[in-house]
Amino acid sequence: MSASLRNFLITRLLLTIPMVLILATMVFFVMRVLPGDPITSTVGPRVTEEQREIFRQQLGLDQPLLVQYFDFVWRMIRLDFGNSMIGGNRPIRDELSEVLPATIELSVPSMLFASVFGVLSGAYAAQRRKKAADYGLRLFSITIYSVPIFWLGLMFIIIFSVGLGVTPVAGRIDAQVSLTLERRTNLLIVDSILSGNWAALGSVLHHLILPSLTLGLALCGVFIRLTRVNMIEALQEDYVTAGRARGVPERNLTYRHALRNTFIPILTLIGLQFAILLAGAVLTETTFSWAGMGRYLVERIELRDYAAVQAVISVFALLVAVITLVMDVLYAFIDPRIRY
Amino acid sequence: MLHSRKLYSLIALPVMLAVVLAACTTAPAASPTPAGPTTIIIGTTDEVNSLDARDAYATHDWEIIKNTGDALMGYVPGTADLVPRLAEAAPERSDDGLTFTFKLREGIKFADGTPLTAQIVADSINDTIKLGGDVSGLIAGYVKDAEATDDRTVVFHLTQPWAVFPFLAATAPFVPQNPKDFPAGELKQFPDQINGVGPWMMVQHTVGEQMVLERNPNYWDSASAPKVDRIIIRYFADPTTMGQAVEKGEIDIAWRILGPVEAVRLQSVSGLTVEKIEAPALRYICFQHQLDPANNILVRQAIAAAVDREAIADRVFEGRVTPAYSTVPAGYPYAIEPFLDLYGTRNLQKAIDLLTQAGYTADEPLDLQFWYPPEHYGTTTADVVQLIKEQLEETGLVNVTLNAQNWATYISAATDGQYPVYILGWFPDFVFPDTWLFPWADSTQSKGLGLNYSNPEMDKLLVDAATSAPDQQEALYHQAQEFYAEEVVTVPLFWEPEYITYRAGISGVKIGPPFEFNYNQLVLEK
Repeated sequence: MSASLRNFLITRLLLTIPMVLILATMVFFVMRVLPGDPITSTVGPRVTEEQREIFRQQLGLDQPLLVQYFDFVWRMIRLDFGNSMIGGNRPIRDELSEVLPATIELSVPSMLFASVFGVLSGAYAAQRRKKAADYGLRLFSITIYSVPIFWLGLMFIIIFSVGLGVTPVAGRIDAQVSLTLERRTNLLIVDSILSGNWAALGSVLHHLILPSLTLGLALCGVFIRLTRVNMIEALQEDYVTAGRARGVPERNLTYRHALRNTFIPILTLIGLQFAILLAGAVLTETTFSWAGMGRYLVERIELRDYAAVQAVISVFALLVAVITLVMDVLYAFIDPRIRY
Repeated sequence: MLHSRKLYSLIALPVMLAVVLAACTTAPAASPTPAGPTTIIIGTTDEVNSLDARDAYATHDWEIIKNTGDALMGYVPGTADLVPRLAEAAPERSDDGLTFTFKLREGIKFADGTPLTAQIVADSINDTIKLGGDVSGLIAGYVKDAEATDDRTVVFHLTQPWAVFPFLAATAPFVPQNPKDFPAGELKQFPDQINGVGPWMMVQHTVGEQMVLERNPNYWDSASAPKVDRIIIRYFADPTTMGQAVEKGEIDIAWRILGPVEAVRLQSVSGLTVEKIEAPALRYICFQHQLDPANNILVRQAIAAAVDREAIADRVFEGRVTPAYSTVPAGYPYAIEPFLDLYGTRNLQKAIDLLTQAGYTADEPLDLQFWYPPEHYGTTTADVVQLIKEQLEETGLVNVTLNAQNWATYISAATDGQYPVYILGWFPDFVFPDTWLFPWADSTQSKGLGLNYSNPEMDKLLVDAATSAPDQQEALYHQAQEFYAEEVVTVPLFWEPEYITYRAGISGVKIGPPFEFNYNQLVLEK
């Protein structure tokens, strides 16, 4: 690693700290400004005022707001998100270790599908500019971008699961196969491979098809359009004309030469789309009963579980920061003209 | 520049993944059940909040606790008949009614072989009161403490001579817990396993995904032993997905909360049985009795007379709910329908007369701010309140303003007493009228729901009814219900049923008035 790249990484990592801190601070205060609190949202009506006060003390909500804030920041620095404020008051670290892998397992294939399918389709549309395939893909990209994601998921379930019976309706793994799987990371694909449980791996992949296809399709429209526009520009560059004059096959020109030069904006988009993925994951996870972080976040916002919401937002901010950092590094890998 | 090989690797990896995924589509839709243990899979949209009987206070939590355990008292499955369970007989009540003594059956063991003792039962209840979990308020209202006088005898000292206590002893907090799973002196809401005294033991729980129950080899009641080896409970995020899962056979039973829309759809699917369960889930109008105009009894009575429950049931729910003319559901002890006697199914003229008597005219009508949570009780709440608005405004003396608020904000403001008129739902703790009267009408409890109703006459009547000898209770509970309707503490609207759907080959679904689903009754014929 060059010294300049190292400096770049260190600077970016250091910049991540205030970014996460600012976001976490905003979430901390916004949650407390909202009417309602975790105690009223969850305890039974027979709980007396004295007991409510005990709950407030147990949760630290009787402390001045600034004391609560600095306590939260101090804990966050140590990556200790405390305990959930509702239900069983479980450690949030435990809860995140269950839901975060589920979201990662859904997001990564979805993003891979969206980017690969979107980029290849966009490149093809550019190559077939103003022909039927181009018009068709442009129409498809607009339509798929406009379709509500929960509706798309529901249609897939009705067609592929209930109608054709080729995919499962919901969940991450078959209920009975799940009993045979030893969970170590909660990334079920990884756990299946680590334990050599191929039946479980098949079941996990089988359950992944519809949710990842739904989320991936919802995201791919943007990739198609972005790639198409950039590819059209790239295909008009001098080096493409020169290549064409030298008899380089059109396919090679498109996919080997022009496509590479469109990767920079696409990589930027991948980084940004990961942030948007959470919104899509909330709906996809609900439709497919996928016990992931998006569903968890919505439930906890409704119950005013301050600690859980702060933790989820902070973790997501970290994830997005790391992904954009990786993308920035990849720029240099893809385009040698970029130096840090 | 990115080398071509790298570029292709970048593309090939997800493509290969997609191919693998696509290949999997040829797999059968539902994985075949491996030969071996007979298993029934139950779906639910509920979630687990706490599995510690000293803390849990939610319907699904109680269902799991009652299936992995037994209480001192219980019900004959599918009925409201109270019978001793862990107790060998009905408890002995002291002359002053302040103590109840239970004798445990002999030889009861937890699933891991640990013997059940009276000390464990007593410790569990004392912990419930001491540790201040969610359910502590319910128990502490009735029980001062518990003591074990020998290995099989446990004595409960009550705060007042509550006659209802045997019914309370059938609730989940009276399920003794294995000290190895739930250590004394601390709450443990999410244990790794539950080795209780019930027909099932919990062997696995993946939060938000599934829970696995297996037969308890040491279950004391061989006549009620489970008829299948294993129950898997799968957790769903929404009823539509759960409905599709039972339709496709991924689950055998779709339990609560399926909802009327999905239940009606599934009725036409062959191979499925949809049963309507008359659940004691009440929707009702609340009043903040200290706020104008809800503090005016004439206004409350006018609202009770103007509301047309039959129209709500027909127009909003297509007859799928039952109009409620009492807060105590039919089938419960001492239930009557006093609202029907006092206000009829609807009496518009009476409502007009009452409002006129209260001083309202067409020129100076009653301005009523009516609050509701648009999503918390399903998607029909907005239609229900809109119809109530029309019915009240039909008097020509009321202008209703509907105010929607999201649940977290709503419940906080409502219980804080900020709304004059608002709508809520209720589900009972146990099968006795107390659970339908005290929370609203008793001056010490009414504040908890934001009503702030206080009437010494009502307080005395309720305590007299709850503490009197059984032969006097009927008259007193009738009197209390009639007074409740006269005062219009709340306006009951309708009972909302639950639905259970199960596939061919499943039988033994028995859910009676206590609304208990005993999994050990289930039979799988495949």
